[in-house]
Amino acid sequence: MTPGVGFLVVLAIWQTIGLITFGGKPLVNPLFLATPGETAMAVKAWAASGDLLWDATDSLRRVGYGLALAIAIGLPVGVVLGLNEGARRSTRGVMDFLRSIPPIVVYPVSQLILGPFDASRVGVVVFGATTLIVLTTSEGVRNCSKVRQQCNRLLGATWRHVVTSIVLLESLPAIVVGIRTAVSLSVIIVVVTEMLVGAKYGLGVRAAAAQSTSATPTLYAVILVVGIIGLGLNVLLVRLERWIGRWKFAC
Amino acid sequence: MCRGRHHVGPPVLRLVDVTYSVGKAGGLRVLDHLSLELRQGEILGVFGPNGCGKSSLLNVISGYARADSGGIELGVDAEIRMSYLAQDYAETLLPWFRARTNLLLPVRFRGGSRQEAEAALAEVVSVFDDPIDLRKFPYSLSGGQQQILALLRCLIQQPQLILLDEPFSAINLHRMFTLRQRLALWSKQRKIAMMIVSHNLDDLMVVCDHVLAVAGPPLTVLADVEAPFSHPRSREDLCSAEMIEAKTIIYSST
Repeated sequence: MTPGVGFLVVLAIWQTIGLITFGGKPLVNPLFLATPGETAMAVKAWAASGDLLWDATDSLRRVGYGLALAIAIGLPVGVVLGLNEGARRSTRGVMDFLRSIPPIVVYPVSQLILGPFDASRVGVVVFGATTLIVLTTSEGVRNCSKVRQQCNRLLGATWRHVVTSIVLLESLPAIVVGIRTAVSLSVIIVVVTEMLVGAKYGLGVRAAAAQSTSATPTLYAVILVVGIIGLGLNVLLVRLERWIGRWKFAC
Repeated sequence: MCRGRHHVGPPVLRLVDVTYSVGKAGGLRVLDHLSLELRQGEILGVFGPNGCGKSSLLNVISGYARADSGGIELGVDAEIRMSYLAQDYAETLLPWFRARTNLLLPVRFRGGSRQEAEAALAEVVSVFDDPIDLRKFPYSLSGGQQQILALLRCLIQQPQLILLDEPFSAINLHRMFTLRQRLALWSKQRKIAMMIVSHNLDDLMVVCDHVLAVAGPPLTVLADVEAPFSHPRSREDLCSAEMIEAKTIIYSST
Protein backbone atom coordinates (compact mmCIF):
# COMPACT_ATOMS: atom_id res chain seq x y z
CA MET A 1 0.00 0.00 0.00
CA THR A 2 1.30 3.44 -0.83
CA PRO A 3 0.41 6.71 0.94
CA GLY A 4 -1.53 7.59 -2.22
CA VAL A 5 -4.23 5.06 -1.33
CA GLY A 6 -5.34 7.13 1.66
CA PHE A 7 -5.71 10.20 -0.54
CA LEU A 8 -7.76 8.24 -3.08
CA VAL A 9 -10.13 6.98 -0.38
CA VAL A 10 -10.69 10.51 0.96
CA LEU A 11 -11.23 11.78 -2.57
CA ALA A 12 -13.75 9.01 -3.26
CA ILE A 13 -15.73 9.77 -0.10
CA TRP A 14 -15.67 13.49 -0.89
CA GLN A 15 -16.93 12.85 -4.44
CA THR A 16 -19.62 10.40 -3.25
CA ILE A 17 -21.04 12.85 -0.72
CA GLY A 18 -21.38 15.39 -3.51
CA LEU A 19 -23.18 12.89 -5.75
CA ILE A 20 -25.78 11.66 -3.25
CA THR A 21 -29.18 13.13 -3.92
CA PHE A 22 -32.23 12.89 -1.73
CA GLY A 23 -35.62 13.29 -3.39
CA GLY A 24 -34.10 15.16 -6.32
CA LYS A 25 -32.16 17.47 -4.00
CA PRO A 26 -28.46 17.03 -3.17
CA LEU A 27 -27.80 15.72 0.34
CA VAL A 28 -25.44 18.61 1.07
CA ASN A 29 -26.21 22.13 -0.05
CA PRO A 30 -23.76 23.04 -2.86
CA LEU A 31 -23.20 26.33 -1.06
CA PHE A 32 -21.53 24.35 1.73
CA LEU A 33 -19.65 21.78 -0.26
CA ALA A 34 -17.88 21.92 -3.59
CA THR A 35 -17.14 18.65 -5.38
CA PRO A 36 -13.54 17.64 -6.14
CA GLY A 37 -14.13 18.51 -9.78
CA GLU A 38 -15.40 22.01 -9.01
CA THR A 39 -12.56 22.54 -6.60
CA ALA A 40 -10.02 21.49 -9.20
CA MET A 41 -11.57 23.89 -11.70
CA ALA A 42 -11.40 26.67 -9.12
CA VAL A 43 -7.71 25.96 -8.50
CA LYS A 44 -7.11 26.02 -12.23
CA ALA A 45 -8.90 29.34 -12.65
CA TRP A 46 -7.07 30.75 -9.65
CA ALA A 47 -3.74 29.69 -11.07
CA ALA A 48 -4.59 30.97 -14.55
CA SER A 49 -5.41 34.43 -13.20
CA GLY A 50 -1.89 34.57 -11.74
CA ASP A 51 -3.25 35.30 -8.28
CA LEU A 52 -2.38 31.85 -6.93
CA LEU A 53 1.31 32.46 -7.40
CA TRP A 54 1.14 35.86 -5.71
CA ASP A 55 -1.06 34.60 -2.89
CA ALA A 56 1.18 31.63 -2.18
CA THR A 57 4.48 33.49 -2.41
CA ASP A 58 3.24 36.36 -0.25
CA SER A 59 1.97 33.99 2.43
CA LEU A 60 5.14 31.90 2.32
CA ARG A 61 7.29 35.01 2.49
CA ARG A 62 5.53 36.08 5.68
CA VAL A 63 5.94 32.58 7.13
CA GLY A 64 9.58 32.51 6.07
CA TYR A 65 10.55 35.87 7.56
CA GLY A 66 8.78 35.07 10.80
CA LEU A 67 10.31 31.61 11.10
CA ALA A 68 13.80 32.77 10.22
CA LEU A 69 13.63 35.42 12.93
CA ALA A 70 12.10 32.98 15.41
CA ILE A 71 14.87 30.43 14.79
CA ALA A 72 17.56 33.11 14.96
CA ILE A 73 16.26 34.18 18.37
CA GLY A 74 14.88 30.91 19.72
CA LEU A 75 17.73 28.54 18.94
CA PRO A 76 20.51 30.39 20.81
CA VAL A 77 18.19 31.20 23.71
CA GLY A 78 17.07 27.58 23.87
CA VAL A 79 20.66 26.30 23.87
CA VAL A 80 21.64 28.69 26.66
CA LEU A 81 18.61 27.74 28.76
CA GLY A 82 19.23 24.04 28.10
CA LEU A 83 22.85 24.21 29.22
CA ASN A 84 22.22 26.43 32.21
CA GLU A 85 19.86 24.81 34.69
CA GLY A 86 19.57 27.96 36.82
CA ALA A 87 18.58 30.12 33.86
CA ARG A 88 16.11 27.50 32.68
CA ARG A 89 14.43 27.23 36.03
CA SER A 90 14.14 30.96 36.56
CA THR A 91 12.59 31.52 33.12
CA ARG A 92 10.34 28.48 32.99
CA GLY A 93 7.35 30.28 34.49
CA VAL A 94 7.64 33.15 32.02
CA MET A 95 8.05 30.76 29.09
CA ASP A 96 4.99 28.74 30.10
CA PHE A 97 2.99 31.94 30.46
CA LEU A 98 4.02 33.25 27.03
CA ARG A 99 3.29 29.88 25.48
CA SER A 100 -0.20 29.90 26.97
CA ILE A 101 -1.13 33.07 25.09
CA PRO A 102 -2.75 32.25 21.73
CA PRO A 103 -0.45 34.20 19.36
CA ILE A 104 -3.36 35.69 17.43
CA VAL A 105 -4.32 37.63 20.56
CA VAL A 106 -1.19 39.75 20.26
CA TYR A 107 -2.02 40.73 16.64
CA PRO A 108 -3.76 43.99 17.58
CA VAL A 109 -0.79 45.01 19.73
CA SER A 110 1.56 44.00 16.94
CA GLN A 111 -0.42 46.18 14.51
CA LEU A 112 -0.28 49.05 16.94
CA ILE A 113 3.51 48.84 17.13
CA LEU A 114 4.49 47.57 13.68
CA GLY A 115 1.75 49.05 11.52
CA PRO A 116 -1.04 47.45 9.47
CA PHE A 117 1.16 45.72 6.90
CA ASP A 118 3.41 42.66 6.80
CA ALA A 119 5.63 43.61 9.72
CA SER A 120 2.79 43.11 12.19
CA ARG A 121 1.97 39.64 10.80
CA VAL A 122 5.63 38.63 10.95
CA GLY A 123 5.70 39.99 14.49
CA VAL A 124 2.93 37.61 15.55
CA VAL A 125 4.68 34.67 13.87
CA VAL A 126 7.90 35.54 15.70
CA PHE A 127 6.03 35.73 19.00
CA GLY A 128 4.34 32.37 18.58
CA ALA A 129 7.17 30.45 16.96
CA THR A 130 10.00 31.71 19.18
CA THR A 131 8.45 30.49 22.42
CA LEU A 132 7.87 27.08 20.84
CA ILE A 133 11.43 26.80 19.52
CA VAL A 134 12.96 27.98 22.79
CA LEU A 135 10.98 25.36 24.69
CA THR A 136 11.76 22.37 22.46
CA THR A 137 15.41 23.35 21.99
CA SER A 138 16.05 23.86 25.70
CA GLU A 139 14.40 20.53 26.52
CA GLY A 140 16.43 18.78 23.82
CA VAL A 141 19.69 20.32 25.01
CA ARG A 142 18.89 19.60 28.65
CA ASN A 143 18.42 15.92 27.88
CA CYS A 144 21.80 15.63 26.16
CA SER A 145 24.26 13.21 27.77
CA LYS A 146 26.21 14.92 30.54
CA VAL A 147 28.93 12.27 30.47
CA ARG A 148 29.51 12.98 26.79
CA GLN A 149 29.91 16.69 27.45
CA GLN A 150 32.22 16.23 30.42
CA CYS A 151 34.48 13.60 28.82
CA ASN A 152 34.86 15.66 25.66
CA ARG A 153 35.50 18.77 27.71
CA LEU A 154 38.38 16.88 29.33
CA LEU A 155 39.58 16.01 25.82
CA GLY A 156 39.85 19.72 25.18
CA ALA A 157 36.42 20.77 23.90
CA THR A 158 35.68 24.44 24.54
CA TRP A 159 32.11 25.58 25.12
CA ARG A 160 31.95 26.43 21.42
CA HIS A 161 32.88 22.86 20.53
CA VAL A 162 30.37 21.56 23.05
CA VAL A 163 27.61 23.59 21.38
CA THR A 164 28.49 23.09 17.71
CA SER A 165 29.98 19.58 17.69
CA ILE A 166 27.95 17.94 20.44
CA VAL A 167 24.84 19.56 21.83
CA LEU A 168 23.26 20.92 18.63
CA LEU A 169 23.64 17.59 16.85
CA GLU A 170 22.51 15.53 19.80
CA SER A 171 19.36 17.61 20.30
CA LEU A 172 18.64 17.87 16.58
CA PRO A 173 15.56 15.61 16.64
CA ALA A 174 13.97 17.76 19.37
CA ILE A 175 14.91 20.96 17.54
CA VAL A 176 13.39 19.74 14.29
CA VAL A 177 10.18 18.70 16.04
CA GLY A 178 10.00 22.24 17.43
CA ILE A 179 10.57 23.80 14.05
CA ARG A 180 7.99 21.58 12.38
CA THR A 181 5.40 22.54 14.96
CA ALA A 182 6.45 26.16 14.51
CA VAL A 183 5.93 25.90 10.74
CA SER A 184 2.35 24.69 11.19
CA LEU A 185 1.69 27.41 13.73
CA SER A 186 3.20 30.07 11.47
CA VAL A 187 0.99 29.05 8.53
CA ILE A 188 -2.08 29.31 10.77
CA ILE A 189 -1.05 32.73 12.07
CA VAL A 190 -0.27 34.11 8.62
CA VAL A 191 -3.51 32.87 7.03
CA VAL A 192 -5.67 34.13 9.89
CA THR A 193 -4.03 37.56 10.00
CA GLU A 194 -4.41 37.82 6.22
CA MET A 195 -8.14 37.15 6.58
CA LEU A 196 -8.46 40.08 8.95
CA VAL A 197 -7.03 43.20 7.30
CA GLY A 198 -4.63 44.94 5.06
CA ALA A 199 -3.08 42.55 2.56
CA LYS A 200 -3.56 42.60 -1.20
CA TYR A 201 -2.37 39.05 -1.76
CA GLY A 202 -2.26 36.00 0.49
CA LEU A 203 -3.99 32.67 0.94
CA GLY A 204 -6.05 34.09 3.79
CA VAL A 205 -7.03 37.08 1.66
CA ARG A 206 -8.31 34.72 -1.05
CA ALA A 207 -10.31 32.66 1.45
CA ALA A 208 -11.95 35.74 2.97
CA ALA A 209 -12.75 37.12 -0.50
CA ALA A 210 -14.24 33.83 -1.65
CA GLN A 211 -16.41 33.60 1.44
CA SER A 212 -17.77 37.12 1.04
CA THR A 213 -18.74 36.34 -2.58
CA SER A 214 -20.08 32.86 -1.74
CA ALA A 215 -17.55 31.32 -4.14
CA THR A 216 -17.63 27.90 -2.49
CA PRO A 217 -15.30 26.11 -4.95
CA THR A 218 -12.64 28.79 -4.44
CA LEU A 219 -12.98 28.39 -0.67
CA TYR A 220 -12.27 24.69 -1.01
CA ALA A 221 -9.46 25.44 -3.43
CA VAL A 222 -7.81 27.62 -0.79
CA ILE A 223 -8.12 24.84 1.80
CA LEU A 224 -6.61 22.38 -0.66
CA VAL A 225 -3.67 24.63 -1.52
CA VAL A 226 -2.92 25.53 2.11
CA GLY A 227 -2.96 21.81 2.93
CA ILE A 228 -0.60 20.99 0.09
CA ILE A 229 1.78 23.78 1.10
CA GLY A 230 1.79 22.64 4.73
CA LEU A 231 2.42 19.07 3.68
CA GLY A 232 5.21 20.16 1.36
CA LEU A 233 6.94 22.16 4.11
CA ASN A 234 6.71 19.19 6.45
CA VAL A 235 8.16 16.77 3.93
CA LEU A 236 10.96 19.24 3.25
CA LEU A 237 11.82 19.45 6.96
CA VAL A 238 11.74 15.68 7.42
CA ARG A 239 14.12 15.37 4.48
CA LEU A 240 16.37 18.02 6.01
CA GLU A 241 16.40 16.22 9.35
CA ARG A 242 17.24 12.92 7.68
CA TRP A 243 20.04 14.59 5.78
CA ILE A 244 21.59 16.22 8.85
CA GLY A 245 21.05 13.10 10.94
CA ARG A 246 22.22 10.74 8.18
CA TRP A 247 24.79 9.18 10.56
CA LYS A 248 21.87 7.40 12.21
CA PHE A 249 21.02 5.49 9.06
CA ALA A 250 24.58 4.66 8.02
CA CYS A 251 24.78 1.43 10.00
CA MET B 1 57.44 -10.01 46.61
CA CYS B 2 57.53 -6.24 46.74
CA ARG B 3 59.92 -4.72 44.24
CA GLY B 4 59.74 -1.30 45.82
CA ARG B 5 58.02 1.70 44.30
CA HIS B 6 59.56 2.67 41.00
CA HIS B 7 57.13 5.53 40.60
CA VAL B 8 58.88 8.42 42.25
CA GLY B 9 57.91 11.36 40.00
CA PRO B 10 56.12 14.44 41.25
CA PRO B 11 52.45 13.97 42.17
CA VAL B 12 49.93 14.63 39.40
CA LEU B 13 46.85 14.08 41.52
CA ARG B 14 46.21 14.55 45.20
CA LEU B 15 42.92 13.95 46.97
CA VAL B 16 42.70 15.40 50.46
CA ASP B 17 39.79 14.45 52.72
CA VAL B 18 37.36 14.16 49.84
CA THR B 19 33.77 13.49 50.82
CA TYR B 20 31.03 12.79 48.29
CA SER B 21 27.42 11.72 48.73
CA VAL B 22 24.91 10.62 46.17
CA GLY B 23 21.60 12.45 46.08
CA LYS B 24 20.54 15.30 48.30
CA ALA B 25 21.97 16.10 51.70
CA GLY B 26 21.91 13.06 53.95
CA GLY B 27 22.15 10.77 50.92
CA LEU B 28 24.39 7.74 50.63
CA ARG B 29 27.97 8.68 51.53
CA VAL B 30 30.17 7.12 48.84
CA LEU B 31 33.48 8.79 49.65
CA ASP B 32 34.22 9.62 53.26
CA HIS B 33 37.31 11.76 53.92
CA LEU B 34 39.29 9.89 51.31
CA SER B 35 42.92 10.89 50.74
CA LEU B 36 45.01 9.57 47.91
CA GLU B 37 48.02 10.49 45.81
CA LEU B 38 49.06 9.55 42.31
CA ARG B 39 52.52 10.29 40.93
CA GLN B 40 53.78 10.90 37.44
CA GLY B 41 53.87 7.63 35.48
CA GLU B 42 52.27 5.67 38.29
CA ILE B 43 49.64 3.11 37.39
CA LEU B 44 47.19 2.53 40.21
CA GLY B 45 44.52 -0.14 40.20
CA VAL B 46 41.36 0.00 42.27
CA PHE B 47 39.76 -3.39 42.81
CA GLY B 48 36.44 -3.81 44.55
CA PRO B 49 32.91 -5.17 44.33
CA ASN B 50 30.05 -3.57 42.40
CA GLY B 51 28.60 -0.47 43.98
CA CYS B 52 31.46 0.18 46.39
CA GLY B 53 32.14 3.65 44.99
CA LYS B 54 34.92 2.97 42.47
CA SER B 55 33.21 4.72 39.59
CA SER B 56 32.09 7.56 41.83
CA LEU B 57 35.74 8.11 42.72
CA LEU B 58 36.62 8.57 39.05
CA ASN B 59 33.52 10.72 38.47
CA VAL B 60 34.59 13.04 41.27
CA ILE B 61 38.21 13.27 40.05
CA SER B 62 37.09 13.92 36.47
CA GLY B 63 34.78 16.72 37.55
CA TYR B 64 31.68 14.93 36.29
CA ALA B 65 30.44 14.73 39.88
CA ARG B 66 31.09 17.40 42.48
CA ALA B 67 32.58 16.48 45.84
CA ASP B 68 30.77 17.73 48.95
CA SER B 69 34.04 18.73 50.60
CA GLY B 70 37.76 18.17 50.47
CA GLY B 71 40.44 19.10 47.98
CA ILE B 72 41.25 17.67 44.57
CA GLU B 73 44.60 18.98 43.34
CA LEU B 74 45.54 18.26 39.77
CA GLY B 75 49.14 18.63 38.65
CA VAL B 76 52.09 19.93 40.58
CA ASP B 77 52.94 23.39 39.37
CA ALA B 78 51.48 23.26 35.87
CA GLU B 79 47.98 22.52 34.74
CA ILE B 80 47.67 18.98 33.49
CA ARG B 81 45.53 17.33 30.88
CA MET B 82 43.35 14.52 32.07
CA SER B 83 41.21 12.14 30.05
CA TYR B 84 38.48 9.87 31.26
CA LEU B 85 37.32 6.60 29.75
CA ALA B 86 33.93 6.41 31.42
CA GLN B 87 32.07 3.19 31.99
CA ASP B 88 29.52 4.37 29.42
CA TYR B 89 32.29 4.67 26.85
CA ALA B 90 29.87 4.45 23.90
CA GLU B 91 27.96 7.44 25.22
CA THR B 92 31.12 9.56 25.24
CA LEU B 93 31.76 9.08 21.51
CA LEU B 94 30.08 11.44 19.07
CA PRO B 95 27.87 9.15 16.96
CA TRP B 96 27.42 11.75 14.21
CA PHE B 97 31.13 11.70 13.37
CA ARG B 98 32.99 8.81 11.76
CA ALA B 99 35.40 6.74 13.85
CA ARG B 100 38.39 8.60 12.45
CA THR B 101 36.97 12.03 13.33
CA ASN B 102 36.08 10.75 16.79
CA LEU B 103 39.59 9.46 17.31
CA LEU B 104 41.12 12.77 16.27
CA LEU B 105 38.73 15.00 18.25
CA PRO B 106 41.39 15.99 20.82
CA VAL B 107 43.60 17.30 18.00
CA ARG B 108 40.63 19.10 16.45
CA PHE B 109 39.61 20.60 19.80
CA ARG B 110 43.04 22.11 20.35
CA GLY B 111 43.07 23.43 16.79
CA GLY B 112 45.85 21.14 15.61
CA SER B 113 46.90 20.93 11.97
CA ARG B 114 46.28 18.07 9.55
CA GLN B 115 49.87 16.95 9.93
CA GLU B 116 49.50 16.83 13.71
CA ALA B 117 46.38 14.71 13.31
CA GLU B 118 48.11 12.34 10.91
CA ALA B 119 51.10 12.01 13.24
CA ALA B 120 48.91 11.36 16.28
CA LEU B 121 46.91 8.79 14.37
CA ALA B 122 50.04 7.02 13.12
CA GLU B 123 51.42 6.91 16.66
CA VAL B 124 48.45 5.15 18.26
CA VAL B 125 47.81 2.92 15.28
CA SER B 126 51.43 1.73 15.30
CA VAL B 127 51.09 0.65 18.90
CA PHE B 128 47.52 -0.56 18.87
CA ASP B 129 47.30 -2.24 15.48
CA ASP B 130 43.64 -3.00 15.81
CA PRO B 131 41.59 -3.59 12.73
CA ILE B 132 38.96 -0.90 13.23
CA ASP B 133 37.44 0.52 10.07
CA LEU B 134 37.88 4.22 10.77
CA ARG B 135 35.45 5.22 8.02
CA LYS B 136 32.55 3.70 9.92
CA PHE B 137 30.26 5.50 12.33
CA PRO B 138 30.67 4.47 15.99
CA TYR B 139 27.25 2.80 16.14
CA SER B 140 28.16 0.42 13.36
CA LEU B 141 31.27 -0.77 15.22
CA SER B 142 31.08 -3.59 17.75
CA GLY B 143 30.99 -2.78 21.45
CA GLY B 144 34.61 -3.83 21.87
CA GLN B 145 35.74 -1.72 18.93
CA GLN B 146 33.89 1.27 20.36
CA GLN B 147 35.67 0.74 23.65
CA ILE B 148 39.07 0.60 21.96
CA LEU B 149 38.15 3.70 19.96
CA ALA B 150 37.26 5.57 23.15
CA LEU B 151 40.47 4.38 24.80
CA LEU B 152 42.69 5.43 21.88
CA ARG B 153 40.95 8.80 21.86
CA CYS B 154 42.03 9.27 25.47
CA LEU B 155 45.62 8.48 24.49
CA ILE B 156 45.65 10.82 21.48
CA GLN B 157 44.94 13.70 23.80
CA GLN B 158 48.44 13.15 25.28
CA PRO B 159 47.26 13.58 28.85
CA GLN B 160 49.35 13.39 31.99
CA LEU B 161 46.61 11.49 33.77
CA ILE B 162 44.12 8.95 32.45
CA LEU B 163 41.15 7.67 34.42
CA LEU B 164 39.93 4.31 33.17
CA ASP B 165 36.68 2.73 34.29
CA GLU B 166 36.50 -0.96 33.36
CA PRO B 167 38.58 -0.29 30.23
CA PHE B 168 38.50 -3.87 28.92
CA SER B 169 34.92 -4.83 29.80
CA ALA B 170 33.79 -5.33 26.18
CA ILE B 171 37.04 -6.56 24.67
CA ASN B 172 37.51 -10.22 23.85
CA LEU B 173 40.05 -12.25 25.79
CA HIS B 174 42.31 -12.71 22.80
CA ARG B 175 42.86 -9.05 22.14
CA MET B 176 42.63 -8.01 25.75
CA PHE B 177 45.97 -9.47 26.70
CA THR B 178 48.06 -7.55 24.20
CA LEU B 179 45.96 -4.45 24.77
CA ARG B 180 46.70 -4.55 28.51
CA GLN B 181 50.44 -4.99 27.92
CA ARG B 182 50.61 -2.18 25.40
CA LEU B 183 48.60 0.19 27.53
CA ALA B 184 51.02 -0.36 30.43
CA LEU B 185 54.03 0.21 28.16
CA TRP B 186 52.44 3.31 26.67
CA SER B 187 52.03 4.80 30.12
CA LYS B 188 55.55 3.85 31.26
CA GLN B 189 57.27 5.21 28.16
CA ARG B 190 55.44 8.53 28.35
CA LYS B 191 55.28 8.85 32.15
CA ILE B 192 51.48 9.03 32.05
CA ALA B 193 49.78 8.36 35.37
CA MET B 194 46.78 6.06 35.17
CA MET B 195 44.08 5.12 37.59
CA ILE B 196 42.19 2.01 36.60
CA VAL B 197 39.01 0.83 38.24
CA SER B 198 37.93 -2.75 37.71
CA HIS B 199 36.35 -5.78 39.25
CA ASN B 200 38.53 -7.99 37.08
CA LEU B 201 41.70 -8.50 39.11
CA ASP B 202 43.73 -9.91 36.19
CA ASP B 203 43.24 -6.63 34.27
CA LEU B 204 44.79 -4.76 37.13
CA MET B 205 47.59 -7.22 37.88
CA VAL B 206 48.85 -7.02 34.29
CA VAL B 207 48.66 -3.25 33.92
CA CYS B 208 49.17 -1.69 37.35
CA ASP B 209 52.14 -0.95 39.57
CA HIS B 210 50.03 -1.54 42.62
CA VAL B 211 46.43 -2.35 43.40
CA LEU B 212 44.16 -1.04 46.13
CA ALA B 213 41.65 -3.56 47.40
CA VAL B 214 38.59 -1.54 48.37
CA ALA B 215 35.17 -2.08 49.87
CA GLY B 216 32.26 0.23 50.52
CA PRO B 217 30.34 2.41 50.43
CA PRO B 218 31.89 4.49 51.77
CA LEU B 219 34.96 3.54 49.78
CA THR B 220 37.53 2.09 52.16
CA VAL B 221 41.03 0.90 51.27
CA LEU B 222 41.60 -2.56 52.76
CA ALA B 223 44.99 -3.37 51.27
CA ASP B 224 47.64 -1.84 48.99
CA VAL B 225 49.46 -4.59 47.12
CA GLU B 226 52.39 -4.23 44.70
CA ALA B 227 52.07 -6.17 41.46
CA PRO B 228 55.18 -8.26 40.78
CA PHE B 229 57.25 -8.27 37.55
CA SER B 230 58.26 -5.43 35.27
CA HIS B 231 56.34 -4.40 32.15
CA PRO B 232 55.33 -5.90 29.84
CA ARG B 233 53.94 -8.71 31.92
CA SER B 234 53.41 -11.99 30.13
CA ARG B 235 50.75 -14.66 30.45
CA GLU B 236 53.29 -16.77 32.33
CA ASP B 237 53.84 -13.93 34.80
CA LEU B 238 50.13 -13.90 35.47
CA CYS B 239 50.21 -17.60 36.43
CA SER B 240 53.39 -17.41 38.50
CA ALA B 241 53.56 -18.13 42.22
CA GLU B 242 54.41 -14.47 43.00
CA MET B 243 51.37 -13.24 41.12
CA ILE B 244 49.08 -15.76 42.75
CA GLU B 245 50.42 -14.77 46.15
CA ALA B 246 49.72 -11.09 45.44
CA LYS B 247 46.24 -11.92 44.20
CA THR B 248 45.58 -14.06 47.26
CA ILE B 249 46.44 -11.17 49.56
CA ILE B 250 43.98 -8.97 47.68
CA TYR B 251 41.23 -11.57 47.61
CA SER B 252 41.63 -12.42 51.28
CA SER B 253 41.46 -8.77 52.31
CA THR B 254 38.11 -8.14 50.61
